[in-house]
Amino acid sequence: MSSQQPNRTSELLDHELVQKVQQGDKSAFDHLVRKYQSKIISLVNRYVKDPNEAQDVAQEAFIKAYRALGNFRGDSAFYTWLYRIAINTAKNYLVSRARRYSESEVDVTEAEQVYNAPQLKGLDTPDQDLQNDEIVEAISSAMEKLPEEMRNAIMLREFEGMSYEEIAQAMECPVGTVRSRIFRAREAIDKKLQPLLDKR
Amino acid sequence: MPDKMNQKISQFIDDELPYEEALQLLTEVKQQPDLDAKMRRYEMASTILRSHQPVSIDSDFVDKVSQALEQEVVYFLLNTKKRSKYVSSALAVAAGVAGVAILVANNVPKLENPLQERYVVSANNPSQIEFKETRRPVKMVVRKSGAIDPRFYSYLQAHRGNLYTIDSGVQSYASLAGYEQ
Repeated sequence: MSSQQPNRTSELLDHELVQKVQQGDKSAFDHLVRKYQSKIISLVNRYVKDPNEAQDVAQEAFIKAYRALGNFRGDSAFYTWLYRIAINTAKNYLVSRARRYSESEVDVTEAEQVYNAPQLKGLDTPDQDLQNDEIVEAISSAMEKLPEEMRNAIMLREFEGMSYEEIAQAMECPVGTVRSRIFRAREAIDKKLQPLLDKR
Repeated sequence: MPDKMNQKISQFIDDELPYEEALQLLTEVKQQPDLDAKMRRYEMASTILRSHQPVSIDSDFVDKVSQALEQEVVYFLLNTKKRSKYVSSALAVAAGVAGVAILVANNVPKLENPLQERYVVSANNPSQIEFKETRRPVKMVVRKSGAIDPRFYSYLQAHRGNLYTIDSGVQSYASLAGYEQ
C-alpha cells in the first residue's frame, strides 16, 4: 500500500524523473520543479524574507540544479540535494544583496551574519503585510469551522507530519476515510483562500 | 473540476499518491491551469498551517524556469558524458578489488575440524541418514633422504606401547613420532 511507505513513493517518482532528465527529457524537469516549487520557495523565503525575491532565487536554484543534474548520482535523495543547492543559492544571494545595500565596504563572509542583519528583515510592504495577515486569518478561521474529524485529520498531517496510515491508526478509521477527511478539509480552506488570492 | 482529481492533488502533496498515478497527475496538471492553480493553493495553505508565513507562487513559475533552461541542453549533455566516464572508472576499480579478494580467499588455508561430522545416505535406503564420525588421517612425513634406520625402527616398534606423560599429553611416543606403518 502506498500510504505505508510515502517517502519511498515520492523518492521513486523523483528517481524516475531524474533519470528521464538525464536521458534528455527536459519536460521531466518541469515535473520536478512543479513538485518542489512550493517547498523551495518557502525555504528560500526563510532566508531572503521577500516573497518576490524568493521566487527569483528559487528559480536560480532550480537552474543550478538542472545544470548539475548530470553529475547527480543519487547518493542522497533528490530533494535533499536540491535543498542544499537552494540554501547555498539563498546564502550567496544574501551576501550579494548585503554588498548592494551597504554604502561602505563591509567584510561579510558568512551568510548567516547577513541573515541576521536587522536592516534586511521585514522587506514586505505594508500592503503585502496586510494581505498576508488576511490570508493567515482566513485559513485559521476556516480551520476553526471544520468538523472535528476533519480538523483532527489535517492537523495530524500538517502539524505532526503523520502518514495516512498512522492517522488511520490514531483515529481508528480506515485509510480511505483519512484521505477523504484531509481532502475535504483542504477544500474548505481553499474556498476561503481562493477569493483572497484572486484579489492580488 | 472533478473532485477525484482534487483529491489526487491532496494525496500528491502529502506523498500519498502511488508513483504511477503521481506521474500521470503531474502530466495533467501541466496541461490544465485550473489543476495547477489548485495544487499551488493547497500547497500554500499547507505552508501557512505549518509556518504561518504565506508564500505566493506565480502561476508561470514553472514556465519561467523552463524558458530559462531552453539554452541549457548542450551543457547538460556534456555533464552526462563526464558521468558515464566516472561510472566506467568506478566499475573497473571495483572489478579489480573483487579479483584481488578472490585470489586472497583462495590462498588462505581452510581450517577444518579434524573430527568432521559426516552424514552418510545409504544408497539402498535414501530416507535413512546415518551419522558417522570420522577422523581425518594423520599424514605421514617420510623423509626422502633415505629409509629409516632399521635399529631406530625396531626401537620404535618395541616402545610403541610406552606412555610418556610430558605436560598434560598422554600418548605413546611412537604415535607422536610418526613412522612408516
